[in-house]
Amino acid sequence: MYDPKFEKGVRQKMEGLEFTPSQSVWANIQKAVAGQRRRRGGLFFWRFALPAVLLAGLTSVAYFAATRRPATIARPSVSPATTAGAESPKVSAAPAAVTAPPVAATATQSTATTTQRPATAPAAAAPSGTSVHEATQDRAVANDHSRTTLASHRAKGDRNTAIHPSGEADGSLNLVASAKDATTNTRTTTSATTTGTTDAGTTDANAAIAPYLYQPALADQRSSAAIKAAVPSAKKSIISLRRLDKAKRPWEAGFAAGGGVSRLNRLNISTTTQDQSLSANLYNIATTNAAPSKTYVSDIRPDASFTAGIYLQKPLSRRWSVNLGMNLHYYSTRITIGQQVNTYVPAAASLIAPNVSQAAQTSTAFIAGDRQVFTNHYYFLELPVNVQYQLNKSHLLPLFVEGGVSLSRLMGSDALFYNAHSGVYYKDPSVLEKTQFNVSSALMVGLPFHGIRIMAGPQVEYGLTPLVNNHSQGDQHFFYGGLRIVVIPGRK
Amino acid sequence: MDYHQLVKDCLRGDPAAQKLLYEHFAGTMLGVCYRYTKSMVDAEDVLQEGFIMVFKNLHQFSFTGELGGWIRRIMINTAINYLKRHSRYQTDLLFTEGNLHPVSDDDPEVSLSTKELAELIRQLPPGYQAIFNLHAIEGYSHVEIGKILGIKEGTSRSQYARARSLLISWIYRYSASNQNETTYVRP
Repeated sequence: MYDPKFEKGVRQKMEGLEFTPSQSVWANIQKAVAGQRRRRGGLFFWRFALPAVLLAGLTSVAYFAATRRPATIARPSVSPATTAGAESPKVSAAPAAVTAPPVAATATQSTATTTQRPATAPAAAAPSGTSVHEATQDRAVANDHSRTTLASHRAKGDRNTAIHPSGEADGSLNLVASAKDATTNTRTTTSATTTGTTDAGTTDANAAIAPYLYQPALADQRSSAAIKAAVPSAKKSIISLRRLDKAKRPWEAGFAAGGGVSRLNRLNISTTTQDQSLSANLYNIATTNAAPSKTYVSDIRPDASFTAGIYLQKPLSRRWSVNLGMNLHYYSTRITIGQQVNTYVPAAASLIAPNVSQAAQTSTAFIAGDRQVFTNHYYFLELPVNVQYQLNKSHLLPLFVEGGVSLSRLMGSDALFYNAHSGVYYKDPSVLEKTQFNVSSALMVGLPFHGIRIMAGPQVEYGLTPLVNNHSQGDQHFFYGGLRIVVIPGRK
Repeated sequence: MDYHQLVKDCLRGDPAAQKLLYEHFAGTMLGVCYRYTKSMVDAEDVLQEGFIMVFKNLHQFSFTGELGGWIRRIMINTAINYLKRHSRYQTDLLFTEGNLHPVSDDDPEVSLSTKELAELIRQLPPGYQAIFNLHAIEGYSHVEIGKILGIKEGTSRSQYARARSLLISWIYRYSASNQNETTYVRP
C-alpha cells in the first residue's frame, strides 16, 4: 500500500495555507453574533411567556370580575320588575308629601290625621300651606328626574279611587298636566287618592260639597289620561333597557388549556426524495463491494401535545359568540435514530500528536437507525380567533360548537431532519416554516360550577402551512387532536 | 497570546476580543475552508458560518485542548455540512462506476508549493476532495469519515485510494509540465 510519507508531506504543505478573508466576512459575523444575542434575549423572554400569559389572564379576569359586579347590582334598579320594589320607599314617601297641601289648606282637623301617620310627619311639620305647597312642588320637580315604570304606576294606580276636584286639587292636577312623566302623574294621582281618603273622614261634615264626592266617570278619565301619558315614557324606558341589555354583553376573560396528541401528516413525499433515496442506495451499491445494507429511515410517530393560554369571549347574541386568545402550543413527534455522529480528530490540530484523538460534537447529527428514540419538540405561540355557536338552549348542559383559525409563530424547536444523501439526521431550524396558519374546530359542553363557567370537549387542529419549507421532506402538516378546556370565572 | 483571557472576554460579549479572535484565526481557517470548497466565495461562506458557530458555542470550549484545534474542528464540520446542504456539491458527492479512478501505489515527493498543491486538491471531485482532506490532512479514520459522510468505511477507504492516485497523477503531470517550462496545465 501507499507510504504515509506522502500524506505527511501534504499535511505539512497544507499547514501553511493561509488567505486573507474579505472585510464583509467579519461584518456578517458581527451582525450574526449580535443577532444571536438579541435572539437569546428573545428566548429568555419567551421562557417566561407562559407565566406572563397566565398573569395577564388573571389580571384581566380580576378586572372583568370587578367591572361586572357593579353592573349586576345596578341592573335591578332599572329593570321594570324590580323598580317598583326597589323604589317603593321613595314612592311611598312621595304621596305623603303631595298629600300635605290639601290637608293643610282644607281643614285644620286633618293635621291630627297627618300626625297619626309617620310618613306624613314632615308635611305636618310644615309651617304654612303655601310653604308646604312650594315644598311639594319642589319635591315633585325633584321626583320628576327619577324614572319609574308602568309597573309602579299600575301598582299605585290601583288605589286611584277618588280625585279631589277642588282648587288645590286642580292645582295638583295642573301639576300633573305639566309633568310629562308618569311618575308625577302617579304620585299626584295617589296624592289625590290619599286626599280623598283623608277627606272621606270629614265627608259627613261636608256632605253638601258635592264636587268633592267620588265621581267614577271623571276618575276613569283622569286615570286613562294618566295611563296614556305613562305608556310612551314606559316604552322609552323599555327601549333604553333593551339598549342597556345589548350593551351588557361584555368581553369575558378566562383560561384555555388542552392536551392531546400531535402528529405530522405527510401529504405527498416528493419524487425528489425518493430519487435521492434511490440514488443514495445506488451510491452505496456502486462504491462498496459488500452487499447493500438496509438503511432504516424512521417513521414520524405521534406524541404528546398540549396548549395553554388566555381566552377572551365576546357574546354576539344569545347563541353566537366570538373568542380570541393567546396560547402557547407544544407539539412533539417521535422518530427512531441511530447513534450520534462524533467527530474524532487528532488533538492539537492534527499535526503535533496525530495519534491522539479527541471527540467533538459541534453540530448534532445522528445516523439513521433504530438505536434510540428521539422526540422532536416544537413550541408555537398561537393567536386563535374562533366563532362559537350554542347548539341547544339548555342552561344545565349547553353544547357549543366552535370553529376558527389561528396564526402561530414558532418559538423554538430541536427537531431532527433526515438527509437522504448522507443518511444522517441533523438539526436545521432554517428549514422550518416559522409562521403557521391553522384551522381548528371543537365541540364542547358547558359545565356551570359554583360561579365558574367551564367548557370542555374534543378539539382538532390542522396546520394549513407546510411545516418544512424544503419540499424534498414532503409536505408535512401538523395535526393535533385532544381535549380542550375553557374556564371562565365569575359567571354562572 | 493569552487564549484563556481572550475566550473569557469573548464570552462577556466584548466585540474587540471577538474581532481579535477572528483576526488571529481567520487566515488559517480560510485555508482550511478553501481546501473543502470549489471557490473562494464558498470558502468565505463556510468561514463565516464556522465563526458564527464558534462564537455561539464558545462557552463549550473546555480549555483542555488548543483553541486553534477546536476552531479548526468546527470549521471542518461546518464545511462538511455546507457540502451536504448545497446541491452543487451533493451531485458530485455521488460516485458511480463510470467515473471511478484507478488506484496506483505511487509515492511521489511533494515538490509543489502550498498553493499549487491546494489548487490541485480543490480540482478533485467533491467526494474525493472531502475524503482526501479528512483522511490525509485532518487525520480522520475511515470509520469516522464513513459516519460523517454517511457512507461505509470501505467506501471511504476506496474513495481515498482513488483520490490519492488521481492527485498523484496530477502532481506528476504538473511537475512534468513545469519542467517543460510550460506555465500551467489544468488537470
